[in-house]
Amino acid sequence: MEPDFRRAMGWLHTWAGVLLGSVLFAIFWMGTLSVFDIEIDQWMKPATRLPPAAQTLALERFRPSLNEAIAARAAFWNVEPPNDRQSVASVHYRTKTGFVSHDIDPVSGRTLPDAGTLGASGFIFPFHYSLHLRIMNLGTWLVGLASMAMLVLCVSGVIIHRKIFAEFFTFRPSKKPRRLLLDLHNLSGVLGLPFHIMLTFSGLVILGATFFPASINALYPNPRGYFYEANGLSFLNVKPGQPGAPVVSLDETFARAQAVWGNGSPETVLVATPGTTTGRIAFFRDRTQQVVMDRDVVAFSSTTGELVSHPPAPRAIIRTQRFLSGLHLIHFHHWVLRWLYFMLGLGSCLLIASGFLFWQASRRTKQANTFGFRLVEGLSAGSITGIMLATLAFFISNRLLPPGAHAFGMGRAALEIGCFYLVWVGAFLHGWLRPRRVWIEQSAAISAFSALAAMLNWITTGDHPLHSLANRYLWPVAGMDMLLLVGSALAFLTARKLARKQPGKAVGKTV
Amino acid sequence: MVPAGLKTTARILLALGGGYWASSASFALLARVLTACGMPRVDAVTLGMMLVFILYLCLILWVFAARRVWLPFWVLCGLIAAGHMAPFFFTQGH
Repeated sequence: MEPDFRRAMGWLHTWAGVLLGSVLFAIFWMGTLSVFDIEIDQWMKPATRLPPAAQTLALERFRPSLNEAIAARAAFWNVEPPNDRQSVASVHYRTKTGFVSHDIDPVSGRTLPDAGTLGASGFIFPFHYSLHLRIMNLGTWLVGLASMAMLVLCVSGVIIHRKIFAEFFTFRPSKKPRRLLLDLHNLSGVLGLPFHIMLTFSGLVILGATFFPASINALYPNPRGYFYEANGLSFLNVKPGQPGAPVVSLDETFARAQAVWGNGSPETVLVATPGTTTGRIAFFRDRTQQVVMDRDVVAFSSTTGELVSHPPAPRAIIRTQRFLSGLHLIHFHHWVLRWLYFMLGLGSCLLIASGFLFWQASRRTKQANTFGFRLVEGLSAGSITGIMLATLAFFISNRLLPPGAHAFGMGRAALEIGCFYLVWVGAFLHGWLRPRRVWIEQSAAISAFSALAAMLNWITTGDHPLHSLANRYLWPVAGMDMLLLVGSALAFLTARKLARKQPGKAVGKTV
Repeated sequence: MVPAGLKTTARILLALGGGYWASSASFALLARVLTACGMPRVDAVTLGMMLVFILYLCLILWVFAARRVWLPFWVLCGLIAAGHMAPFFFTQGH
């Protein structure tokens, strides 16, 4: 390869990384936590920590909630029966004023009290793809830009490393911190390269219709038409009907759905425009044993109960796209693979953080007083250790705020998110004001916050790690507490090591 | 002589904006061509949606790697023009 080309790629690698490293770290950090979103939800909503029910609840038991949705003229109503990741059932519907969501006890069928939290599936997962910036979809576009930058970084990173296989086996922890950072960066980059590329690419494809609507607009009068066709949801493509129509028995309709499938259970039961003359009942077949998310949906009229549609299995191109979605969203249930995703996700975080810090370490002696260097240095702690601290503050506030808390015109769930942003902004300020000590102090704070979160879970719910480990249904809680404690220990060791070697710096990698 | 900062800014704008516009236009064109050849439109659009990111990636890398920026510039212009002229040749779209 010509040296000019490699130099251009090196330049691109450096600046794409420095400019978007902070955003990339936030995306990968939140994505890594989203691997265990339902498990974190159980930690954050203690009322849902229930042993699995011996018998499945009849669908008609959810009728009171459906009637509420009909009275509120909901656009849709759905129920997710319990599965092996989640022992409670949940119902959701959307009205004109907002989204309503309730957890249902799988044995008694009663509605569990509102936990007053968005949890991981309501805050951490959306943050992963929208950065919580909803104005003009700005967050999603920023995620798209950062993802393209990640692909550019992966390709240019491979090009600038001539000795890629030698570097595979190079790790010099005893050398200068700068060498250590570069070795860490190369090691996590090379080992995880297929993961970094596949996850970034599949993430972009999932949001493809948002980023590249031109070909849809060229062939479809309405983008919804494409969405329905690609997802086998054409039964939703009906004119709005008159209200006041009954909804037939869900259980009887389900028996008909099973006759169509032959066998199988639903992972979601959807009633679209419930209570209107053109309402639909749709059963989404459980697909948690395979990677490909090819929906198998049987739809019935909700007024007469007759079969409306059962689309054939998707063709190759759609299946490829569904495979990429499944690969990214980990819709399948497999504990070993789920942990592997989590570990590889942490590897990506390490890759981004070490690259970011290497840029500073290699420029500290020459450019320490320039404005650009100060800016990146001031931002880096907030965007690496700061977002970890903010996430921990989110967990801690979840355990500390009393039920029904209300302050500054915000409900409990909004207050938790307020705590997240307060701590995050604080971490940025801290990094700006004390650039020399910030890594030590924030690592120590991570250590304290993680231990505190695990401790608060014990105090407020009584589920200490030994108790939760002894009960199979509490393993998600045990896993979360274990990770908090391991993270706390790692952060403590990092802080101690950094304090001894001042002014040398290394990466504080924790959970 | 053009200042270095301006050159860099031009490349960034060309890679991000021009690359985006060109990828978007070429896949609108591809989707039209594929449907005209008989592929169902949902397949044509979905296939494009997976490939478009690879094209965009290649265009970005090319704009930054090229010694002179004029060749990528004209190719991007060509792709954009082709994509936007397609509706006049394919009328069966909607």
